[in-house]
Amino acid sequence: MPLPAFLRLILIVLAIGAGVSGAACPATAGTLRTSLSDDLTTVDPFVFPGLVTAGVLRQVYEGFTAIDAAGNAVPALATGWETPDGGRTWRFTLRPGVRFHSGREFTAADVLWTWERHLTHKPQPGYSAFYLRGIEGAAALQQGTAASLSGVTIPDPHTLVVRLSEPDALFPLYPFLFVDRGMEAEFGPAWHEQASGGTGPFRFLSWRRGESVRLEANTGYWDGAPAVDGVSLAVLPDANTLMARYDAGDLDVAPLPENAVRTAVRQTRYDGQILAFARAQVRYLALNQDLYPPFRDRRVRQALHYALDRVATVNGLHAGRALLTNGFVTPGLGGYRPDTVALTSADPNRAKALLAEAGYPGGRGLPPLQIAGSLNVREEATYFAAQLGAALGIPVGVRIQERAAFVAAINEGREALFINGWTADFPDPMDQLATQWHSASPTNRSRWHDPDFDRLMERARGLADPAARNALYQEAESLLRDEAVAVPLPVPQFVALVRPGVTGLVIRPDGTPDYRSARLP
Amino acid sequence: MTAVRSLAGRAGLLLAAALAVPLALAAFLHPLDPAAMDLGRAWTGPPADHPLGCDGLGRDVAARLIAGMGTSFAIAGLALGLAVGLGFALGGAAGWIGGRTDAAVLRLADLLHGFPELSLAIVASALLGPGTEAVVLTLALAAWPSQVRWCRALALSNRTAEHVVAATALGAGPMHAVRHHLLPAVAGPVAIRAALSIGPVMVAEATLSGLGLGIQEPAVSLGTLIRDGLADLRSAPHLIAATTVTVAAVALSINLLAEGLRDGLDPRGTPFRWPRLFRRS
Repeated sequence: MPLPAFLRLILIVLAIGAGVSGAACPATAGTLRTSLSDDLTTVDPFVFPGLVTAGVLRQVYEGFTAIDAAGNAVPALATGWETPDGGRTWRFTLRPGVRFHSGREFTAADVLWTWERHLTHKPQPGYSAFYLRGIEGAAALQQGTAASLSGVTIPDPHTLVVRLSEPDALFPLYPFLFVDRGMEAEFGPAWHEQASGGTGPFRFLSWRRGESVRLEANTGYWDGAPAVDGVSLAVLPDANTLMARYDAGDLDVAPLPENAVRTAVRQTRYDGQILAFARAQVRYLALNQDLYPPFRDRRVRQALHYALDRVATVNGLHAGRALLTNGFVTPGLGGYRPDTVALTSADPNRAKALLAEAGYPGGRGLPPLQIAGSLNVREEATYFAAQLGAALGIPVGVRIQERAAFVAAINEGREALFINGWTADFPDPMDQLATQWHSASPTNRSRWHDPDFDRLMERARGLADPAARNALYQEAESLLRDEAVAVPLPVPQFVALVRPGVTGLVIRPDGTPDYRSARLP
Repeated sequence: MTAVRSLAGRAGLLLAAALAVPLALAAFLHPLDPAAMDLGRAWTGPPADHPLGCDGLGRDVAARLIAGMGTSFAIAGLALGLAVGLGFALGGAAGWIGGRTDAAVLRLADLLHGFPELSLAIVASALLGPGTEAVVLTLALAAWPSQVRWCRALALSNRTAEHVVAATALGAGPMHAVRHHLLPAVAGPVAIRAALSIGPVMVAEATLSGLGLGIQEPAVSLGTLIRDGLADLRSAPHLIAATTVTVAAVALSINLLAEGLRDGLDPRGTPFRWPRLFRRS
């Protein structure tokens, strides 16, 4: 045992130090060489993708709309949409002349096939089934009592009419990925691993698990061919390896994990090579009142706000590449308003006073507490745990887990206090408010529930007028703030090292890099 | 001072002193809280008030190194205590009783021996959650099979020793034989083997915590220091350097001391003699 254990340790240190781990990055002339912070979870467009996987799938597949660099919804495969009855019926006009990577033409039949496939996908419905649940006949199709989706009609190949059981003003914004309906017949059930079935600016070439992903430019793309021949993405989860590979000239673009940003910023050799982009994310210290009864008292929740010096972490932990607001909607989205309530400054004495008022003087009577998080928030969790411990008067621990285990734990409601983040899938506050706080949302990880908030969300969903909808979002956000349901935390920007001469690269607010506009020197 | 009769023992003692004295001085001269943070001092080099500099959260590295060694020693002690206790009880029983008991204990040891440490750590983390308990359990389970085999072999050889057979023939019961013959005979070798295992167990703890399967913040061990040092490799390479050198020196000095103890307790061994050059005529 002695020698192998010791050797293992030395080898790990040497391997990471020398940057020899990770995949070789295959490249050809004109290929943009970049990286992924984690391996893909799937290349199947019907399976729920995480942030990393979605960033790749959205290069290959498209929906009715896309998100532009400023975070606005812009027409993609639909050129127009209208509703004659306040969001209950939607008539989409599809973009003519669009072809799939197979060469087949994109039509309304592909949209219908994609949706039916999501609803009947086995063993679990496809990830878009959640957005499709309101279409008339969706339940019957899922239960097997209908053979097709009765709420969708196709007057002509480029027009689609959708009837919903309840008004849904956001339906055109949902992040659908439309699939070539001829793929399965041509390549079989596992077609997505060997062929490219979308209309996007890049076609899928290969995925070597844990090593790399390769994309090839779609020269017939409807909005103009990409400027690069292809994209090669090396899977590099370790920040030291990533930066070593960038330093060695192996990468043109190195998207940095959040906890590596301040390391890069403080090194002068990267001056002029660091690009930062806004992130449409809400981020907060979540409090599960079911698991930790003292959190049911608003004064205890407020005490947590006063205990933490969040402002110090913007520069101290994020090197200034982060935005801190006192709200639950990302700046730039429709419902956002500049804070009318000032950010709570750190005031440990006020925190102690609130705790005493709530019946926990000096922390007496508080059960043990720990902050949970994934690997990339270790430092932040440690910093906040020390501050909470000092203010609450009880030791506050830290529980860091591998990302998949952590996400499983919070999805199952097994953590009482944790650092949570949610990056918007579509540009509307509904995606940040309802997903996180509606009592019926599968991603309401803190399990907070309030019937008044739920009603506001349900009313907003049916309002086609953006101004009226935004007013309800603001009301809902005020409710969250007043109740101190969670402690908002700084939202880090997307930061990447970009080799001199590489231009045009943009990371959109939803985390999708725009490789199409990137140009190599 | 049995351990320092040999060259290895003296070298181990010298190395331990070379390690302990500066750290003790640092702890005395700079009694800092290993958990105290100051983001303004993140990754600063070694100035006067921080002998080894600060980490990414502005915590004093020397204070954390001292605290980390304490934790790592405690974890190694606990894990080895469990492994040796269980090993002595089961291994001794297997060797002394023999038959089916012996076969059952050996198969169990073989089974556990078949699992790599890392697999055990992942299972323990899944069952108990990552933390000190999981690390202690993992290290104890990993160290246990070799302790069992060692104790079994000692018991087996002592069971048939002439003085034990004679005592049994004169009417001594099994408890008397165990207490007065087996225990005194195996205590020394077991202690030496346990001492030899401290270094590797500390390194194993460092490996597990370095991989994120070990103890959690705010607790600090040599393993968590290596993990943090690796994360900060490009910003502050002195962090990982200080910790890995310490781990290597601690493991080496303990191994040398244990070697010395073994040499000292070995009645057939040759006592250490200084080379002729240093001997008085």
